[in-house]
Amino acid sequence: MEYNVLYLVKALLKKWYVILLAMGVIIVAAVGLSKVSYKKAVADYQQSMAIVQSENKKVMLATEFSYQLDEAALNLLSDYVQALAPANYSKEELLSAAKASFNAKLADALNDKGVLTEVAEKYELSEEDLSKHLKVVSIASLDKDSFGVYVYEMNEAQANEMKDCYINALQKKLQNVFFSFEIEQKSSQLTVTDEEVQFVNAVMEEPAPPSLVRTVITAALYGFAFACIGVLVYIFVKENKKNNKEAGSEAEKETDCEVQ
Amino acid sequence: MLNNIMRRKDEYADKIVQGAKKTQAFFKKHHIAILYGAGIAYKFLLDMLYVFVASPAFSYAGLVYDPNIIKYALSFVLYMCLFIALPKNESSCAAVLLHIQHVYTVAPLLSFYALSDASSKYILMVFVCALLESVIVRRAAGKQKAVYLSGMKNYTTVAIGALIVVTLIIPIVYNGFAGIKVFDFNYIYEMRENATYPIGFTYLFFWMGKAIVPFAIVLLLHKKRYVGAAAMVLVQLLLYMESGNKYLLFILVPLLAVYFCAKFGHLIKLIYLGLGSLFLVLIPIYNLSAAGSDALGTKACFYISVRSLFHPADNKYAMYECFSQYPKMYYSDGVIGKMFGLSGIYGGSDGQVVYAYNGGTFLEANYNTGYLGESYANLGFFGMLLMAVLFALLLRVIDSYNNKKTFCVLSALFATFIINLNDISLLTTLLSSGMIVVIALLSIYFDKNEEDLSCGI
Repeated sequence: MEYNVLYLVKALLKKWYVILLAMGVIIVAAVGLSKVSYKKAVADYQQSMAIVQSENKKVMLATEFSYQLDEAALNLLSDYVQALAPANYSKEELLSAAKASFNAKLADALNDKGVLTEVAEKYELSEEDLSKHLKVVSIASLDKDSFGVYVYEMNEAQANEMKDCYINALQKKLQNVFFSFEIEQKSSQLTVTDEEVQFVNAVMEEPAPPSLVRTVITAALYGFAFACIGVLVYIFVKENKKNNKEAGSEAEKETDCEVQ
Repeated sequence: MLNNIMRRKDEYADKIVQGAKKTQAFFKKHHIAILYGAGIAYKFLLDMLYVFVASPAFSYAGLVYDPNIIKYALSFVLYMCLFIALPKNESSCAAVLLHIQHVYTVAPLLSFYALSDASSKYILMVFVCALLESVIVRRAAGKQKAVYLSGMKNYTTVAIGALIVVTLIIPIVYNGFAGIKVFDFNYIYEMRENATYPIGFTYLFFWMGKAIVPFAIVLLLHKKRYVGAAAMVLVQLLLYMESGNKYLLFILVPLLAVYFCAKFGHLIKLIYLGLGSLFLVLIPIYNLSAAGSDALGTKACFYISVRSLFHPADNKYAMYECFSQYPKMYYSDGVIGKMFGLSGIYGGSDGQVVYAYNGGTFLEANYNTGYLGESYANLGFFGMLLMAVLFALLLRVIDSYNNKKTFCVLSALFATFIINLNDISLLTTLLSSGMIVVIALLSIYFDKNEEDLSCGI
């Protein structure tokens, strides 16, 4: 089928009402579909966000604890250190040495086998498995006496429970060894480590409601283009059929002549 | 002396022609046996390529070797069913294009499925789509008529000439010219990162590089205007040097290879035999040059076995895994979404979402999708069927221009788009990569009444 471009332009102009009608249909479809699509997107988004808000998502709980020895305990410790330290030590040096000695003993106690075994037994974990979930680090210095408890790969409630279980076991251990002193929770930070939650958080965004004006204008432009293509296809199919019919009737005539 | 040389030259030419004729006669006589033999050999060689090249080199990047005997048997059965269903008419352009899709997209998916223990559900969906395409193309044979536009040839030729000049100048003005440095494939990523273009120019640029210039190359070759064809090859190389887009460089290989194989005839057989032989060469080359990742053999193996065949297959599976678990895109990102004002919940394209799903940073890079992956991401199995039908109808349109004279040109041109479809969605290939531009050019430059192809360029 061979066409001249001018013929096609004229044919399109002739069928202007078909193009307008098709544009109208596409605009109505776009307005309807955009609303349905928005509702579906919101529902999908909320369903996906349920994973993020779920209490079962895996987290990493990092908690910092500080501890403070009272003056009486420090004096007692410095008296103990004095017995071992050189005679020319000043009072401050004795206190500092006493504190350092205490911190070293506490650092040992933080990862004491008895303490960790008590936690592991409660959760029915081997020591190796417990080390995947619980890590304790001492951050002791002259001006900052604290330690960090990190709980991995558990949901929020389980992580808090394991942290409390550890602190209780630690305090029980320390009561038997040291003087009484206060352990205070200084800060706590919760980080979501769940890969699924991280993925959903990274790639999904709340769908914005569609703008009616924008939808109508865009649909009209696309509608115009598709309507023109549609009209051209219609012309092609119609003329193709017409040609086939003509070719068919000519063939019939020829056959009739041959028969006669 | 000169006469002697000329006589010898003629003798050799005669020998080559006679040899080619004998081969053609042999191929014709044993058509079915050679076709099926080549098809079966191709399947086994492709599997060997995965086992001995792709997987050892890139198991860390997803091409794991975890074979399953039942899946392997199923993959072979599916491959053979599709091979039997494919049209075997070697003078039909649509049949050739379906076979290219079979060797380049479907067969690697089947091998990946069997050798990495992947999902059977997805491979069955791919099988149904490929079968549907074969059925639609088979039904269409010889019934449809092509559309020709008359009186536009000269205007289009002038417009194309002017656009080639514009397309060559603008990137140099905006980004400078790096020269032969762009043939270092590590440098081009840096170059592409810093490149800027005027708004909308990338459409024109890629239409030029992926559609218009390749069209001009094969048309001029067909008209035996070798100087013009060489000039167009130079333009294509310049387009690559300006953009650093490897596709523009590599497109020349399938374009010219398919064109010359089509000239010989028996294109379908040659596709299977040629690619099978290439794999047979690649396997020892990779194993001999495995010492260095920069070795030429290793690089060739990477581009052919990994980048072209098995990574796209892996990506399609990643698409399936991601979007069978999370809400689909519902065409919110693309032409259909814009047309109907569709809303989506993702902040990026399907390829970017899958990149993040596999542990990458969101929006930093993207996975190539391929139309069988992208359509699943949008509408699941129904979307795949929809795109398969659209693809088959497009093949029917292309086939309507097919005749003895146009076969080589059509096969070479559209083979590049079939290769493109392994990485990019159908609508993007149609609109952004310029498949629709080539179809428009066919209607302008091909003439219904002329004996041979008319060439206005």
